Parts: sequence; C-alpha cells; structure tokens
Amino acid sequence: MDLEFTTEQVMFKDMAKEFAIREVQPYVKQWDRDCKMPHEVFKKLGEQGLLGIKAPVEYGGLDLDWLTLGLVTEQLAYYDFSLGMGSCSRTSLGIMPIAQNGSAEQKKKYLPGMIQGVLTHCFATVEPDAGSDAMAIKTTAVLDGDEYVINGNKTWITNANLANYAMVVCQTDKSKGSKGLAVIIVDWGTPGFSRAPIENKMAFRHHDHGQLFFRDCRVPKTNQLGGFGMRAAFSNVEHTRFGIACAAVGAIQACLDLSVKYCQERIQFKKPIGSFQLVQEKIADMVIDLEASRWIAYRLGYLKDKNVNVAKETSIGKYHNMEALSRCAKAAVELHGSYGLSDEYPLERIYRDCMAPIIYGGTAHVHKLVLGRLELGIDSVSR
Amino acid sequence: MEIIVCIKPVLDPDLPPAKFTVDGKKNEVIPPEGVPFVMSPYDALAVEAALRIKEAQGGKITVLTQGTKYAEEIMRKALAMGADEGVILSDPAFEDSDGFGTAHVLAQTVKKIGKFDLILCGRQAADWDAGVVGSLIAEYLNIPVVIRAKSIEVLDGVLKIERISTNGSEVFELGLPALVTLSSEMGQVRIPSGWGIISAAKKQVPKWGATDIGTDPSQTGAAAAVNRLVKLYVPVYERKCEMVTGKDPAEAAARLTEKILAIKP
Ligand SMILES: Cc1cc2nc3c(=O)[nH]c(=O)nc-3n(C[C@H](O)[C@H](O)[C@H](O)COP(=O)(O)OP(=O)(O)OC[C@H]3O[C@@H](n4cnc5c(N)ncnc54)[C@H](O)[C@@H]3O)c2cc1C
Repeated sequence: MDLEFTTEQVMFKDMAKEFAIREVQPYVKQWDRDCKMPHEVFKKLGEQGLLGIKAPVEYGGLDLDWLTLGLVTEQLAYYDFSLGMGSCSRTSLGIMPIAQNGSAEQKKKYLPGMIQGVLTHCFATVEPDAGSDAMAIKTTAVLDGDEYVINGNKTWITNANLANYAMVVCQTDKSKGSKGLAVIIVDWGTPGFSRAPIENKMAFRHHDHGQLFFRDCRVPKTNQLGGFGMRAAFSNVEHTRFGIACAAVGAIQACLDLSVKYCQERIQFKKPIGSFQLVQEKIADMVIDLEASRWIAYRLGYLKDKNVNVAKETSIGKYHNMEALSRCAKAAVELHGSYGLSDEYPLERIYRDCMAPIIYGGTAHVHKLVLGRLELGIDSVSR
Repeated sequence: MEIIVCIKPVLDPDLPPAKFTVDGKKNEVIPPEGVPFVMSPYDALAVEAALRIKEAQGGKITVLTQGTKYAEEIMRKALAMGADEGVILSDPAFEDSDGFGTAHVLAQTVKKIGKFDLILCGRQAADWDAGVVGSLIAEYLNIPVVIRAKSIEVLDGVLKIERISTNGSEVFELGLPALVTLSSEMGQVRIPSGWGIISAAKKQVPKWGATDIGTDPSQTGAAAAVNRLVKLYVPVYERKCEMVTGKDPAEAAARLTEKILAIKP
C-alpha cells in the first residue's frame, strides 16, 4: 500500500482547510446557536469544486478519487464536524445515486446543480416504524399506467425542508420483499408531497432534518432511479459511511489539538495540567484513537479507489471512528474543565454532534451485527 | 499584458509562537517538523493582483520563485490560483543569498524571459520583513517602481496605482514596463479551486540554474551577502500587572497618568 499522497491530494486537502478557515470557522458557533446556516456556504463549496469531487466531468464534476474526498471531508470536519458530513453527503447520497444509477435525463437535470451547490437533495429511507430495519418500510409506489403513485411517510431526513428533489425508497411490490424496493425521485412541488421540520435537536443543529409525507403523489415512471432491490436502494449509503469515518478523523484531530494546547497552558497546583499523569494518559489515548482512526479511514479510501468490496472495512471505519470520536470528545471536554461546557470552545459542539452519526448511516449496533454476520456467516436478523 | 510575479516560501506566519524556535549559535530559525512553508502572504497578494489584471484585460502570468525546499509547493499553489507558467530558480550558487543576491537572480531571470510589461512582488517577505527585493529588481532592470500598492489598474497601457503612505494614500500613474509591490490593504486573495488544482498538478515547472540565466557568481550566495546577521534570538516579553486604584475614578485616572508619565522609554 502506497501511503504517499499525490500532489493533487495534498493540494485539495490544503484548499479545503483554507476554505474552512475562511468560510466556516468564524461563523460556526453562531450557526449552531441560531440553528441555521446560510445556503451560500454550499454554493461556495460548489465554486471551489468541493461538491464535484466524485462527479462526472461531463456534468461539471472533477471525477477524482475517494481518498481526495476523504481528505477534504476530514479538513472541513476539523472546523465543523457537521458541515464535513453535510458536504460529503451531497456527494455520497446526492450525486452518487444519480451518477451511478441515473438515466441520461436525470443526470442532466440534477448533476450540474448539485455540483454547483445550487440544488439540494434528500435521500429518504427511514420511516417512523422503519429505522434500522429498512425492510419494514411501508411507503408504497404503485404503478398506474405511466405513473407511480406514492403513499407513505419518511422521518429524520437530512435536508427534508431544503431539498429540490427527494430520492425516496419505496416498496413497489410487497410480495417480492427486498426485490420490490425502488428509489423514486420526487421533485419538490409535486402535488401530494409535503414536509415538516424536526426542531430542537441535540446535534447537527444548523442542518435541516424533517419529515416527508406522500399522499397519492404521482410521478412519471421514468422518475425511478436505477432498478429494483437492496443494491439499487442502498448501495450509496456505503459512501456516506466512508465520509463519516473521515469526518471523525478531522474532529478527533480538533479535540486533540485543542486539548494539547489547553493542557500546556492551564496551570493548576502551580503546574500545567499536562504535567499530571492522569491527564497525559487521556492525551495518549486520544493520540492512539487518532492514529488508528486515520489509517482505517485512509485505507478504506485507498480500497474504495481500487473498486474492491469494502463492506467489512466500511463497517469497521464507521463503527470504530465514531466510537473513537465520542471517547475523544468526552475526554477533551473533561480536560477543559468547566470551559469545555462553554460554546466559546468548539468541544461541547463536537461532543453533541458526534452522537448524530453514531445513529445514522447504520447505528453502532447495526455495524457490529454486520461484522458479526460477515465473520460468522450467520445473520442475526434473518427473518 | 505579460506579467511576472515573484513569490517566496516562508515559515507559516500563523504558526503558534510556541512552535517558533531559533538556533542561537548558528543564527538560524529551526523549522518545526511537519509544518510546511507557505507562500508569503504579501506575495499571494501579488499573484491575486496579477490575476485581477489578467481577468480585466487578458494576458499571461509567469511566476518565479527561488528554489528552496518548498518552492515547488508554493509554485503549484500560484498555478492553481490561475497563473499560466512558472519557473523555479535553483542552483547551489543561489543558496543563502541575501535580498541583493535574490534580486540579482530574479532580475537575470526576467532578462532571460525577455518580454514583460509588469513585475509584481509582495511588499516584503513575511519572514524577514526586509522589503528590498522588489525595489532592487527594478533597480537592476532600470524600470520604475512603486511600493506598497493597495490597488492597481491598467488603463490604455498606463498603470494607475494607489499606494499606502504614512498618513493616507497616494495615487501614481506610470508607464510600462514597471514593478509594483503589493500591500495587504489590497484585499482578499482567492483560494484555488479544484479545477485550478487539477490543471496545476499537471503543469511542468522548469528549473533554471546559474548558467541558464547567466548570474554573476560574485553577486549570489552567502559570500556575496551585503547584510550580516549578528544575532538571532526570540525576545522575552515580561508582563507585570499593577492595579491602580483611587477613592473615585478621577483619582484613579490621575494616579494612572502619573505612572504612565513616569515610565522612561
Ligand atoms: C442527524 C440525522 C440525520 C439523518 N438523516 C437521514 C437521511 O437523510 N435519510 C434517512 O433515510 N434517514 C436519516 N436518518 C435516520 C437514521 O438513518 C436512523 O435514525 C437510523 O437508521 C436508526 O433508526 P432509528 O432512529 O429508527 O432507531 P432504531 O432502529 O429504532 O434503533 C433504536 C436502538 O435499537 C438498536 N437496534 C435496532 N435494531 C437492533 C438489532 N437488531 N440489534 C441490536 N440493536 C438494535 C439501535 O442500534 C438503536 O440503539 C438520520 C438520523 C439522524 C439522527
């Protein structure tokens, strides 16, 4: 495995860092307080080319490697974990489903705007009674002539209230089980499609989440994205999990950097608190978590670029790096004493925000079940 | 419009002070490990100014940097921002040149390139802050120079420059070719875009040595240095806090005034 980054990868990493220092760091505290952020930020990310890293050149993208996207996500996440994720998800769940499964018309209609950051997507799987158990989804899409008629509710959907189009996972034929699943694109404004925000959240406060409601919502049959079955519906979630693993690295690095500085400067018992062995142990644990997470994430990117099956590595990366981040965020808040609780430092925000991707992208439990299944050959939830 | 921009790699000026150390015996800064050098921020302004001129009226931007370890990185960044070409000046004979030696190398390079209308530099390098290279290049090339520009425009072949002065600004007009050094008041420098990076990573950047540009060996390198560094050290700042009180704010203010006046510079 070649551990050297290319000139281009290093330049993208530096560029993302420069962008975040200028466009994110000065504002993120206020965004979090206000529970909103300007959409302009995504347009600026688009102008930088950061939303088109994996998108085809013919639609304005850059068609680069996963590792570059991972490095960029890490840098953005260093300054705002949730924005690192928000930005990466625009590729993983906004652009990739269409770039990989979309028709020529769908690509033409959605990809340029997504790459420029002027269009917003949402990808809706989860329902009030179907979270980890994706097979339990009740939203139906019934073919009626040349149209699908969609009925059902989705919840906890990122960008629900900002999306120009929703990619909705529907059951087209219950008797076929998972083979009946399909993703159908529904543009905002289609009659029968409404939405509502979810407010007062613990984490990712300046990002939009909400519910989607479909009541006899009719869309042309050609709005179906790709074919049928689990792969058509969920193959791109894997990319989000890679993004989570990389964003965690950036946030852990932020926890460590802030903690090191504080422990060198904060004097108690006439010494910097960094001179106490119990404090040093916490720093050492963070260093180990950071290194392990970093190489798990980079190797995952490297393997994705080789186009090999990364189901196992993806679950390891998503699970391990989020657990590592939650340990490091807790340690960092603790090391800052009472100041760790103030939003004058970004640590309390990281501590809250890290709970979001412990739950989404497949919960920590679910990834352990995946790893157990892959190793044992026994599916714990087989019906 | 043929524009030449001179850039220099420097230790990141945003480096936390704790990471800045010097070797007092060798009179050298010890670069902290793992912290890459950056394009001197004033030089980045010069690149930005060149790009704005090019956007307004077309032309070609060639970037020059004298080859230290990080020359390649900062050159790629300038190309990613939108510069067309770059040349790295690299030769053992150039090492440890002072501002005079560097200006000689850069002026010789400009002579070799031959065709130019405008040379842009930063007002000073953000490491030593000497601010002489720009003016010296102009001197060696015998062209007019304006330093510390805040804005720069080219109208019908005439340069219009607003430059920072001690108590305001001055507006100059001058003919081409000329050399201008840029100051921070010019505004924000663009961040390279992804497309810029892809194109910059592919570009060939030639390296020219002493024989390519015909430098005079007696004018470059440590031996030719006009300046001699006597002592390099990190100054120690001492802070003492004394609370000045009084029975009312007026008395406290009067005592404070007395104390300030008593401080001998
Ligand atoms: C910030 C945020 C953004 C989101 N964005 C989106 C989005 O854009 N699109 C979308 O479709 N969804 C989205 N979600 C929803 C997310 O995918 C689900 O919350 C997640 O899949 C878990 O489902 P659930 O919340 O219903 O929890 P449940 O599945 O009900 O789980 C509750 C608990 O039970 C555990 N559990 C469940 N089953 C098992 C089992 N078999 N064995 C052991 N433990 C188990 C879980 O691990 C968890 O601890 C988002 C969620 C959040 C928090």
